Order: sequence, then structure tokens, then C-alpha cells
Amino acid sequence: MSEEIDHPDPHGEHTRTLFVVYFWLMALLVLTVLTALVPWFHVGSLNIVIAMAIAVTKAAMVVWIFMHVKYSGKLIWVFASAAFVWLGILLVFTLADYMSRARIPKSARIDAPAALVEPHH
Amino acid sequence: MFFGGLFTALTVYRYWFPEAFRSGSEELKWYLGAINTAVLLTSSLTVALAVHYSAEDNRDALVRNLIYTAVLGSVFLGIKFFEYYVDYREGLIPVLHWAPHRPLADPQHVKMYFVLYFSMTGLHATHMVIGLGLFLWLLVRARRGEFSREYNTPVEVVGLYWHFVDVVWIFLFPLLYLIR
Repeated sequence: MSEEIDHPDPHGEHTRTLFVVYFWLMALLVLTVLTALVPWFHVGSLNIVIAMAIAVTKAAMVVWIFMHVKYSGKLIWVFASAAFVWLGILLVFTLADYMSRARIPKSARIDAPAALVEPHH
Repeated sequence: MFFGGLFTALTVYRYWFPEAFRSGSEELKWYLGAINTAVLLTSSLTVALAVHYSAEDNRDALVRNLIYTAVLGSVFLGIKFFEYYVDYREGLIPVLHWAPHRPLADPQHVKMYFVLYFSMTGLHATHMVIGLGLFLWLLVRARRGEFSREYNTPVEVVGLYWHFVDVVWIFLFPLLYLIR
């Protein structure tokens, strides 16, 4: 916190916010490692959900405070969220395909190449 | 989106080969990844402080925080390349030197994991190197006193870039190092 002592400024509050966010980021990093490596926390497939929830929280703190989206206009909020929406579309639609393949019975599968070669009339 | 495609590939392959990806992940030194995450988060703080001080006309504090950031970025890359060196020694680099010491259950797909590991961390490290160059450039300009309350856009923009690189790593660390 020497920065604040060396340079007292009228907006010292903002510097304090930055340090508070940093503290929470470090705390969440410890939580990331604990939930992943300590057997007591192992809850099977839910572990990836926990890991991603923590990562999203960390990323949100960086974007919200460090990248000062919080202090910007609503238009910036839209653009900052848009990137994650596109990424979400990419992930959800790709996984909707790969994760459902095994669930569709063979008889119900459409053989795409064959359908292209011999179109139905 | 550049990273987005790689994250999607990682997700799909991990879904297909959960066991191979877990054993690949267990070959990594998770504590080195954790230390690097801490280093990078700290550098994100120093960048945020640099941006803050550049807008306050506080040249000394700006220069100091730019130096902290460059040093922390170098530490990150140093640890990263040390990790690559250890991977090389352990024969875990596909194409270059693939000869794992320990017998792996599903070696073909463990290899797949390492291809993704090196693509993603390599692309990330490339961004870091570019970032370091930008910080040295900012440092020179900051020392000349070119930034002030009225004009600090370059510091702001490079700061945003660095935070973005940090956000990518925030996801890379649990997804690559902590598959259990």
C-alpha cells in the first residue's frame, strides 16, 4: 500500500478499490487450487462447474474494475458483454452437436453425405 | 475469438477423452501454473495502478508501476519457459521431443492434450512478449513526460490489452493445469 502513502491523492479511494479487488483475486486463486486438488472437494463432474464459476468471477472482477467497465457508459457494457456472448454461441452450439451424437439412436441418424448424393423427391 | 476456437477445441477433446486429458494435465507442475497466475494477477494490479496514476499526472508512480509490470511479465515468461524446458526434458513436447518417461494409458490422446497445451500457452506467451514490448515503449514515453491527465490513451489501451491477456490466463490455468 506504499503507493498511497507516498502519493496521497484526492482519489485515493480508487487505489484502495484496486487493492481490494487484488486481494479477492488472490483469495479466489487459492480457492481454485483447493477445490481442484484437495480430494475432500471432489464432487465428480460438478468440479468443472465450480472451477469455471470461480474463473468467471475472477475474469468479471478484472473486466469490471481493472478494465474500468464499471465506470464507463452503457454502450461499453454492451460491447464488453458481446465478446462473451459470441464465445457462448460458439461453445453452446458446438457442444450441442458433440454431446448429443451418442444419444441419437443409429436408426434415427441422417447420413448427411448420402442425403446430398441422393436427394429425396 | 482467436483464443475462443482453441478453448472450444479443448472443451470438445476433453469431453471425448476425459481420462487422457486428466493424465496429461497431471504431468504438468500445477504449482508453477499457480505461481504464474499470482504473478500475472499482480501485474494486472500494477497496470491498473499505472493507468490510474497516468490520469493523475503522477509521472514517478506511473514509471514505477510500468517497471513493476514489465518485471512481473518477465518473471511470468521466465517461469513459463522453465516449464517448457522441464517438459522437453520429460519428453512431453509433441513433434519436437515426444518420449514420455512414464507409461501413459492412452498416449495418442495425451499427445493431443499436449498439442493443445502448447498451442494455447504458446499463443498466450506470444501475447505476453508483445505486451512486454509495448510496456518498454510506454516506459520510454512516460519518462519523457508525454502522458498527462489530458492525454494518456496509449497507457489506457495497452492496459486493456494486458488485462485481456490476464483474463485468458485466468481460464487457461484451471482448464489446463487442474484437470483431475
